[in-house]
Amino acid sequence: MIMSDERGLIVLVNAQTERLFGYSRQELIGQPVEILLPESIRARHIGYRESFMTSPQTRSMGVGRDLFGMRKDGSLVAIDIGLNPIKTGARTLILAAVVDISERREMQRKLAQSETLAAVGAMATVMAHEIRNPLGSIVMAAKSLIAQDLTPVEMKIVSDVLTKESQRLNRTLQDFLQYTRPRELKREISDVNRTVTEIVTTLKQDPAQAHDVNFRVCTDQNLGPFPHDADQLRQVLWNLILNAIQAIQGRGRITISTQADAQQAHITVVDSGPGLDASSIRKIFDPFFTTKKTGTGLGLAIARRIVSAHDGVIVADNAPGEGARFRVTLPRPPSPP
Amino acid sequence: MTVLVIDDDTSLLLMLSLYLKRAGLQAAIASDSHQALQLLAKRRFEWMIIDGEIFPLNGFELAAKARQHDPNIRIAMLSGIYKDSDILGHPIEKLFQKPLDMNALIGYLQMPPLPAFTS
Repeated sequence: MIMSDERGLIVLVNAQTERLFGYSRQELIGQPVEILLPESIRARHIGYRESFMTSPQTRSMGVGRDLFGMRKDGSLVAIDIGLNPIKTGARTLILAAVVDISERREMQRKLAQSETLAAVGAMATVMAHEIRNPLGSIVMAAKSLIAQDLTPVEMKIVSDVLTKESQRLNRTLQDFLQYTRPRELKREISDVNRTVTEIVTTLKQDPAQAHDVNFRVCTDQNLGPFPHDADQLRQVLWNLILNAIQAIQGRGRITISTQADAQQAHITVVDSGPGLDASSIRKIFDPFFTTKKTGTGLGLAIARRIVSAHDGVIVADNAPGEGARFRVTLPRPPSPP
Repeated sequence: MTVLVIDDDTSLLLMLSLYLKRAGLQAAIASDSHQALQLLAKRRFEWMIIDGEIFPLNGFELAAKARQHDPNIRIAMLSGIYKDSDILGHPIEKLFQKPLDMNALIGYLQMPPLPAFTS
């Protein structure tokens, strides 16, 4: 605990502060509180402090930033600081509760490091699988061309395999690049309902993807032109609907609906598949997470990244009586783009 | 020689089938273990080549079912993740790593069974 006056001079400290910063009580009393801060932020802190004193209220200091104190020996210590104004007659003193969070910060750093390593491991596994398998088929197909006597039917098989697996490699690369190097958001006033309808029309025309899929589209006509990046929203819908097609194994019903309220646009994709288990719901937007044997596990991660760039949210759950449900909510930006 | 190949990677399945047929073997294909069991019930195969990670039964479970159904069927596994030690204790006599060496695979299929697998 550190108590300071209106001028930022320390008037009281407890034993824990002495231990944490390595100063004795006598050394601190009468000194500006900036003595306990790294030199690089002392000048700025005087400004913050003076601004705080114009309307002192109980709050945490530096929310969202990593705060450090500086010990007498010059070493830094990670801290959290809670500020509490105390009125005593005409004076306002500030009681700062200082907590040493070095251990917590170190654990967070280690956790972040291990999460990064786990993500790199998951990425390596997926990439190896999604590159090695198509390459294996491509090599077999290419080698088979050495034989001069392939029948027309065999030639067709070889040619189809070469095309399909090259495209699969290209998709993997595209997903990967799209995830690691996202495009800048370009919001324009555009019709979300039309984007939804266009995507479904395109997919319906692709018998390989959606021959046995019964698409239902329910658009809310109150959803007028809405500021969003139509190209990127198209990608979100494409990924969600492809995911739904895979969930129903190409056979079943997919319902895509839109809804509007004053401040938000909602898009929902529901499939008639088996739904998601609790573990999948938790991880489904994680990059490289996939319940399928093939696929990069990046489609939904890309969708979430695009929705987040719109300051929106995307959630997954199970729709009662149906399969998996994905709900996208896009807020109307506060000012025109 | 009749061979049943099970893999959910359609391209690999088509290429395997093409190579086996051109080597003079009769190949049938299945893209999941359910389809494989249906084919096994209909006709006899000398060899079954199973991808390790198929559904709904995995490669090991399918191998056990197939051997139960036909004690003489010979079984090989294809995998990108399993090692030779993983097939010990299972009715699988040989593991082929992906990407496949087709000459090695076809050569092995044409070899007589090893003594341990003849009983």
